[in-house]
Amino acid sequence: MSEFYELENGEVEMTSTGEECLRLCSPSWISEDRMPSSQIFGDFPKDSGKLSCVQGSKSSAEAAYKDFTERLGLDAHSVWAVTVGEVKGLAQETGGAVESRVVDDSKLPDPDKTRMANHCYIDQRHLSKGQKKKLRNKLLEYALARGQMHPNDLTTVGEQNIFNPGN
Amino acid sequence: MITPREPKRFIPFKLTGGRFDKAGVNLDAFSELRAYRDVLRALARDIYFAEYPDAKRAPNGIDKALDFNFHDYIDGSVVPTVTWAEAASDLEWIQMMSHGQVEDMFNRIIENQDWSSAVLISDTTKKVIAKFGATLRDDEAIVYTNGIPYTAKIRQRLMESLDKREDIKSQPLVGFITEIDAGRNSFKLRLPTGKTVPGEFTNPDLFRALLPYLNKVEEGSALRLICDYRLVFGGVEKITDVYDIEVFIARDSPWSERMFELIFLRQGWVDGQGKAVVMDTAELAMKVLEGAQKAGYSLPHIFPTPEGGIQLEHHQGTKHLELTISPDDEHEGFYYDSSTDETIEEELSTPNAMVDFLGRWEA
Repeated sequence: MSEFYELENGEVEMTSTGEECLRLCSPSWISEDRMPSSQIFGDFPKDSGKLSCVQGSKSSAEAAYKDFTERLGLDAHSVWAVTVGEVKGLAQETGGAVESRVVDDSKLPDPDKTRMANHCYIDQRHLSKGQKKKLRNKLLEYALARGQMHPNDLTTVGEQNIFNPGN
Repeated sequence: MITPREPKRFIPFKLTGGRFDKAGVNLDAFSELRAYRDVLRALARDIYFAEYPDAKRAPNGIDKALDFNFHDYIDGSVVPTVTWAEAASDLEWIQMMSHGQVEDMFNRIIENQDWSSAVLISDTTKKVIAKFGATLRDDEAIVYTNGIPYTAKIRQRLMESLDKREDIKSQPLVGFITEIDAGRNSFKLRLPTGKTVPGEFTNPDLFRALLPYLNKVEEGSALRLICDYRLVFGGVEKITDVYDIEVFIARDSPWSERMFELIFLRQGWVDGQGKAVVMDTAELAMKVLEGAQKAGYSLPHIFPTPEGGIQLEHHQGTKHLELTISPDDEHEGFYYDSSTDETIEEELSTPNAMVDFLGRWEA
């Protein structure tokens, strides 16, 4: 298993396993039957292995959506989430194939004010291309099981009730 | 007492490198802000006349509405914060549109793509655009919100293309027929970028061939024209002749609507980045989908990729399948069952191999 990169001064690994990491989904990454693409958890070029999220303990899904669309002026369809515990548990869940962590980098300087408020990231920097593919699909599994966090006017993905997958 | 609401501040761009990384604001930053305002004003006129083609002149107050006040800057690089100088409720749409269009246009210039995109950019505007960035030195850049830098080198390339002005290309173009004039053997084609360009054909039989596809854009079929066209300042200006046509996306397949959405995606569709979908990639994806349909396979979800490609996906419980069709011709299949760690990764070079890979989902 490859080793994590060293954290920068001011970055802290998040440990509260129940905390949600909120992830914004582009309108083009939702299918007609409201299935998000696994790419929402992919290694987007500008993130350089730091999958951009918002800390659920400090921002609601609605607040994260507003910050992204209104303050930063970017397009989003919806907000999805995985927990810190799910990310930390990947190594065990995948038999050691993929390991990751969530890092709070909200204290780092943001001179351009282009970062989302209460930012954190899921660390993919140490992963190979194949491992990143596993990670994004496994995270999608968790996010789908949890359901869309915001807006809550859309309730189904395919046949599944995404707000309450048991129903 | 009613307190007037403070106008919303925004950052049009930041200046980085060289003189701009030093403390304070180099005075050339103000030249660039003024040049930026002039681009906004010129482009706003183009947008207005595209929206109201019968208008004789631009609306009163357009220049006032497209002025702004400098408020502050964030030290480090020069990051100016500004507000619109005048509240302009009836022209707010043009403020927002021109602001968005300028960024989109410079993204295209930086990426060396067709940059005279959604509106027909006038020669006046092109001259004004050329002045933006004139004060930049080699180690400096103007950076938009998506982080891509506009440098002196890129501006030099732009200036060279402006000097060159005109170039004839002989390549297929995809779009929608919006007008045909039988008497003049002419037509108009709406490109996926949103821009409508005039065209002509010498073969009179083309009129009958084009006519069935003359529809509203929302209802019509996308065509591929085998044609010659004139490229001016990096944008398609006029189709000079058409040799053949073929249907690119017909409205009779389950993926038509989705493919229409994808080919209309603009540069910057995801978080201010994300390239427009490449037409050859879209065509290959449709070929694969057609093959899957013929084979009786369940059809995957269709998504764009930030690189201008298309990804076909299936997800069910712990099982996942991704087929990535890339503009660089490196196509990959990925199957993963997270409950067993069963993983299949394949490079796929032909449409048949891609269809076969989709068939794994049926197993």
